[in-house]
Amino acid sequence: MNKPLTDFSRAWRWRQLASPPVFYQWAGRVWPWLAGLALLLAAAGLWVGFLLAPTDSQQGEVYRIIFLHVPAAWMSMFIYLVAALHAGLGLVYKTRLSPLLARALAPTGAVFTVIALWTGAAWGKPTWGAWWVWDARLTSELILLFLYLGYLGVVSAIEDSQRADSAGAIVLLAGVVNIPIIYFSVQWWSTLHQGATIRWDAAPSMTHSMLAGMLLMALACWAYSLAVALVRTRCLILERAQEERL
Amino acid sequence: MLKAVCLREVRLAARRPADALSGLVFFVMVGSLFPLALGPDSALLRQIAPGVMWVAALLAVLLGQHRLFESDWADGSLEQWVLAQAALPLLVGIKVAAQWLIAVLPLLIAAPLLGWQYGMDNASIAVLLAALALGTPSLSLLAALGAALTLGLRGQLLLTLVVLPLSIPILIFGSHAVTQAQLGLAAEPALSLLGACLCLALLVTPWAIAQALRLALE
Amino acid sequence: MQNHAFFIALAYGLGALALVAEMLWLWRRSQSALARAQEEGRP
Repeated sequence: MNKPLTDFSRAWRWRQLASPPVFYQWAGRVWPWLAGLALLLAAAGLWVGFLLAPTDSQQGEVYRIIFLHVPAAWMSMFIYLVAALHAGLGLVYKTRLSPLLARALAPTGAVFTVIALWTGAAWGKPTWGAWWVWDARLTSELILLFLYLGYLGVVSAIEDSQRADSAGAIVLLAGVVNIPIIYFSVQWWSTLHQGATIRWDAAPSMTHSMLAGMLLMALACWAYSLAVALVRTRCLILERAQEERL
Repeated sequence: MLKAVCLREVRLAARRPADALSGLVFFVMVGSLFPLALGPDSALLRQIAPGVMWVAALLAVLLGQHRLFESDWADGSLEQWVLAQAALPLLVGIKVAAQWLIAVLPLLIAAPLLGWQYGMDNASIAVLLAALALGTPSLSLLAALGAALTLGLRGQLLLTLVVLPLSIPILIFGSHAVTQAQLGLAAEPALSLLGACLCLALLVTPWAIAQALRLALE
Repeated sequence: MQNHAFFIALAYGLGALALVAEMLWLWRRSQSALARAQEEGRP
């Protein structure tokens, strides 16, 4: 951390960020801005979602759960893909920072998966009459949660950091192969279970304010995830450096 | 060398009949538990049969799988394999195949018996066998991947946690195939999906297992 | 319509709780990592 960063004062050199000390400094400067951005976007999104968007003709007020549910679900998927990408890069190119990024992203992804499942249940009860149905979408999210937990379990159970990183990368990548298969089964399950639920995102007739609210919240979740991931990566850099010294 | 490995693996797997039998016994026991617990309502049993069979098969495959590489690791033959001229994924494939022959193939023999216990008709049982034949090798490969990743770690829970999400599509397609057969509908699409999963598993998992084993040996 | 507020509160309540919990956990983690780094910096 006390190494002179002679090149950093020059123009952005993204490749510099691959070095943990450089990344540490950069992330330390950037994350507060992202956190502030997340707060602003969330405030705007919730304001649009609750005050501007109209009441739904069929579902009433409870549809407003969408402003947390859909962004959380999107992030749960997106974070998984990004984490898998970094884990894969770390596995192939043996970069030092990539496995740390994957480890930093996974907990947030798991949290968003839980939020997506829970908000979905809270939405399902008043609209479908059931907290949970074995709908393909819900089941896919549940499987995604298991994938996250499997990855987190593996990296925490293996004591040797290098082995944990690589084993975790294999687990994460294996799960990526799984995801298109899971979404294919959506078609199969919808033929098995008749009376599929009314999908909000399938209907193009969403009013602009609803869409705006959703997008603002999605961006807020993205900024939040990035801020949290940067902070967690900083922690991991410190922890890893301590390990290497021991 | 490959032939020697083949013979060795089959002989080793056969020398531990307890492992092979325990999977079979577990499968039959779990399959028998449900009618005992849920009562003899035949319509209900027929309905849950596909799911129960598949869950029992999955659990039977996972049982004791974490010890798959342990003895080889302990006596040093795993390191020999990594250093050998033959490709490690191929050797791994042979090992898993031998394991499947000894430990999982008996399940296919027991499956019709369970099927009759659940009141399934013969056509459904035929589809069940086909589905199990296509699906259990993939499950074995996935379980072996879990075993390689968790080699040397204590406890079986982590292996199960890792393998379970990956095996869910096979569970879904396999169970779906049998349900379709019970309804008199075509089971071919689901069976071909199982076949596709098997192809994917054969392509990807031996390589991944080899990577995991190399990791474990470092 | 009345109990819709309950479900909205349920959804957003846990969502906020989960995110706050994550942030708290992370804050504690960074505090302990920094503390350990400073300890090692001295000797």
